[in-house]
Amino acid sequence: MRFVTRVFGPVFSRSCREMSRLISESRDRRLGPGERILLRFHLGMCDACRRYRQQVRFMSRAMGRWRRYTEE
Amino acid sequence: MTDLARQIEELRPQLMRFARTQLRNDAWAEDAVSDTLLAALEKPQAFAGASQLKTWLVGILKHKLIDQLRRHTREIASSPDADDDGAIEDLVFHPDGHFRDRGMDWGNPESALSEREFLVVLQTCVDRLPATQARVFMMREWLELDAKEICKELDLSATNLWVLLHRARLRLRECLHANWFAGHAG
Repeated sequence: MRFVTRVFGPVFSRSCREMSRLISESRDRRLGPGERILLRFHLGMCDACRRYRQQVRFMSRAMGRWRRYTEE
Repeated sequence: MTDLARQIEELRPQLMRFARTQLRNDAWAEDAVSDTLLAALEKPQAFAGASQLKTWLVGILKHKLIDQLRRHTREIASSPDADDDGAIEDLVFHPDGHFRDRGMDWGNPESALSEREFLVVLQTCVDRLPATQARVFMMREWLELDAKEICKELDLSATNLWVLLHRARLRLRECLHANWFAGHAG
């Protein structure tokens, strides 16, 4: 991974601000192949964005829980 | 008043609570709920008693909410949120693009889902979102409409919708952290 980071880092490196947007958008549309590569590369080395992805998924499950609760 | 009519009427406050969260307008919420109860009372035979009364009513309400959103598309489009400049993104991210709070760890959040109190916090946090963000987030995550349908109903561009949803998620995350996970995680 270190080799990959050194060689491709400058090409693939993006900010969390930008990648968090892709994380959110991946819930609402299909990301393009280039976007998927960028995101995967970023998530491989960024705890904060991995956490954001988990939180986005969790919030979606929580809304589902609320919906079922309303209907129960 | 028949027994069914009384039971339906008793559920009005719960339906109102939800309609307000989705529509962010009391008059529209009132219309959506009244239309729902009327539709239910006109066709009581449609409620076979197979499912719960509430499930049946919520099913009708979903359609009435979309009707209201459709009816008021223009008003919704002409009143963008005050924070359209992305203030939440500046709050969450450093100027260099990193998360400011790298340690926002929710531990294992799943256990919160079984707590009634957490659902109250969740609903409060959604109610605190700017109106347009709240509407699109509810349409996406509660009514489970896909992005295309939401864009069509609210006359939004896809890019605009994605930005609104992302900002709603960032805000909701901040609110849930401050009001639940900061005190419960671990």
